[in-house]
Amino acid sequence: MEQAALDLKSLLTDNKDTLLTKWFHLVLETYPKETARHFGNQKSQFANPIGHNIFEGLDEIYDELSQYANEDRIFKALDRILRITAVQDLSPSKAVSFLFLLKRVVREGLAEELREGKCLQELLDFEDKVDQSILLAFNIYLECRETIYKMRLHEVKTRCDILERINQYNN
Amino acid sequence: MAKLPKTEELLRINFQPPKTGWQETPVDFKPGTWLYAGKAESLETVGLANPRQWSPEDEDWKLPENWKEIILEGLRERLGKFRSLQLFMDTCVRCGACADKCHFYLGSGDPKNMPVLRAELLRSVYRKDFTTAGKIFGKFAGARELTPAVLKEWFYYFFQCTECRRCSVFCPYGIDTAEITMIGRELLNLVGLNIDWVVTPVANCYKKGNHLGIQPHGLVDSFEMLTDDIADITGVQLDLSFNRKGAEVLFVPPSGDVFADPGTHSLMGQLMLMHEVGLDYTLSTYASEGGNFGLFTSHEMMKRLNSKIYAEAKRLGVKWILGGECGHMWRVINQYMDTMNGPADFLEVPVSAITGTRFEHAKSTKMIHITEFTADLIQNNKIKLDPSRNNKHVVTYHDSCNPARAMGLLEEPRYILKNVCNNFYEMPEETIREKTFCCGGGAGLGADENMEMRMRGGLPRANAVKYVHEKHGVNMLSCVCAIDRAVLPPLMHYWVPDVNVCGVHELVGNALVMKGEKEREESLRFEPIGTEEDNDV
Ligand code: SF4
Ligand code: SF4
Repeated sequence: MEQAALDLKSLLTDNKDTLLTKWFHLVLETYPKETARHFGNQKSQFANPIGHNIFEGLDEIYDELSQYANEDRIFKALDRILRITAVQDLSPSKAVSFLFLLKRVVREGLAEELREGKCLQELLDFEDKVDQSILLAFNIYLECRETIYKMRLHEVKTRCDILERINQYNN
Repeated sequence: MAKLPKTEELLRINFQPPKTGWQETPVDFKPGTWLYAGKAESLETVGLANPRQWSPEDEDWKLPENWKEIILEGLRERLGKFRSLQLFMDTCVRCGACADKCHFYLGSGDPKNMPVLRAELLRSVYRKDFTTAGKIFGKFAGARELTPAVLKEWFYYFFQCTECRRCSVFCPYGIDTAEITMIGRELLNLVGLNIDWVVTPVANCYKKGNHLGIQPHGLVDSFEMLTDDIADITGVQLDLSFNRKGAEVLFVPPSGDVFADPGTHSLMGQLMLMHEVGLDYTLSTYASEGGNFGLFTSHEMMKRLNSKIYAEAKRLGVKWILGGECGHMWRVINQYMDTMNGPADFLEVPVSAITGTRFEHAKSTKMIHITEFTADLIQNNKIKLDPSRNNKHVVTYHDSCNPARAMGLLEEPRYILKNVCNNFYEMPEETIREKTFCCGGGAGLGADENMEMRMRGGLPRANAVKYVHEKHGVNMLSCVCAIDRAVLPPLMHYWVPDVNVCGVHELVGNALVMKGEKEREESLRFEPIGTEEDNDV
C-alpha cells in the first residue's frame, strides 16, 4: 500500500484547506458570535473587509510559513492583519494571538500523523518560524499603534497652528 | 535531542482562543473610541441645557435630577412632531438587511454598531414607555427601562454613528437610522450630553459666523493669503469682494477650506474658476460657514445656524446662492432649508449668467452646489482646460455621504473629473454612489481623540481605495466635502499610505487655463506640475 506523505511540508500542503479554514474560524472567535458568523461567511471583499483581509492574510502567512518563508511577504501578510487588529478592541497580546493559534491548529489537525513522531524536528522548525513571525508581529503591532498616536499628535499640532493664526487676527 | 519536549507533550497544550464579551458588558469608555464632552462655555453661548464640566469617563455625569422625565417627555414631544420617528419606531421587522451595511460595524465587529441595534437602543426605551405591550411584558416585548447605563450606551453609540444613511439605502422600509441618531442626540442634548467637536463649532458659528470663530478681518486676511498664492502660481491677481451689496451671487464655502490643507487648494481652484468666467459674486464675513454642525445637535440648532445664509443673502440683495465643496451642508440645504427657513421668495431661481442655464431643481432653495455650476460651464465649453497638468495624479472619487445620498449629486463631480484629468478610475460599484462608504469622521466624529474609532469606521472606504490603488495605481482620492478633506488624509496614511487627498476643484484649478496666466510650473500645492515621468527627469 502506498504511504501517505509524511514530511510536514507535504502534510501542510495536502491539508491546507481544512487547516486554514479551521485557523480562520478560530481567529474570528475573538469577535462576538454573530459578528464571527458575518465575517466568516461573506465572500465579498468590499462588503466584508475584515473577514476578507484576515482570511487572505492568514492564507499568505500559511503558505509562507509552510513553504517558502519569504520575509518580505510574511511582513506584508502580517501587516495586513495587524493593521486591523491594532485598531480593534483588543489587548496587544490578543491582537497578536492569532499566530499562536496556528500552532494549535497544526498540532490538533495533524495529531494522527504527528503522533508517529516522524516529523518532530520539522514541526519544531515550523514552530520556530511561527515564533519568529510572532516577534515580527509585535513590531508591526507597535508600529501601527505609534502611527495612530502620531496622527493624533499631528492633528493637535495643526489645530494649534490654525488657532495661533486666528488669535493673531482676532487681537 | 534530549532537551526537546515529547510529541505528546506538545500535542497536549491547549490554547484557548481569546474571547471578548463586549456585547454583554456595559459600555467601557476606552481611549480612542469616544469624544470629549462639550465645553460649558460653548453650551452657554447657544443656551444648551446643563452646562458643566464633565467627562464621559466619569462615573457621575452630573445629570439634572429629573433627567429621566426630561428625556421621556422629549421623546413624547418628538414622536408627536416627527411622523417619521413614530414610523421608524414601529415598523422595523428585524429583517437584518441593514445589519452589515454600517461602516462602523464592518470595521469594528461590535454588534451594537449594526444599524438595527443602534436604533434598538432608542426603540427599547420607546417600547417600555410608549407601547402597551412593552408596558405589560417588559423585556419580553423588547422593552427596557431608561437607566443611567442605558443613557451612557446612547451617548457611546449615537456618537458612533456618522449619520451617513448608508443603512437606509438597504432597508426595505426605508428606515433611516441616521434620523434616529439625530433624535437620540437631540434627546441627549436636553440633559447636557454632547461632544465638544460639535458644540464648540456650533457656538463659534452662532457667534462669529464660522466653525473656527474667525472674525471678519481674519477671514479677509486668510482669503488674501489664498489669492497671493494664486498670483504666485498663475501670475493672475484675483480681486475678491466681501459683503458687497448688489452682487449677483453669494458664495458660501465651508470655512475649513479657508484654513486647512488640502481644502485651501480646492478653494483656490473655485476662486480661480469664478474669476476666470467673470462671475459677479461676493463673500460674506457673517455667513462665512457652509457647514452646519447644528445638524448634529438638534433641528432647532440646525435651523438657527442655517438662517444666517438666507439673512445675508437678503441683506446683500443677491439673486441666488452658490455653495462650496461641502458635504453635510447639502443635506441641510436639500432636505431641511426650505422647510425651516424658506420660502426664500426674495431670491431668484439660480441662472448661470455665463451659460444661461437655469437650475430648475433649485427653484425652492435658490442655492446650487459648485460642482453643478462647474459641470455646466464645462458642458457649455466656457472654460479652457489642460488636463495633462494633472497627469501625475491617478484619481478616484469618494462620494461624500450627504451629497450622494441626500442630494443625488453623483454625475457632476465625475463629469468634471473626467474633463480635468486624464487618469480617472472608479472604486468598486458597491462602495460608491448611493452605496458609498463613509469617511468614518462625519457628524462631528472627526476629532483626534476619536482616532481609533475613525480608523475602524473608515476601513471599508480605505479598503476600496486600496483596491484601486493596487489595481490601477490610484494615488489621489478626490472628494467634495471639507470633513472628508480633514479626515481622509489620516485614514489614507494609516491604511493606504501612498494615496493623497484633494478636493475636486483643486484639480480644476490645476487644469484651468486662465487669461493672462504665466506658464504654469507649479500645481496649487506648489509642486512641480506635469507627468510623473517629467518629474523624474
Ligand atoms: S447612518 Fe451610517 S453610521 Fe449611522 S447606523 Fe446607518 S450606516 Fe451606520
Ligand atoms: S433593514 Fe430596516 S426593517 Fe430590516 S432590520 Fe434594518 S431597520 Fe429593521
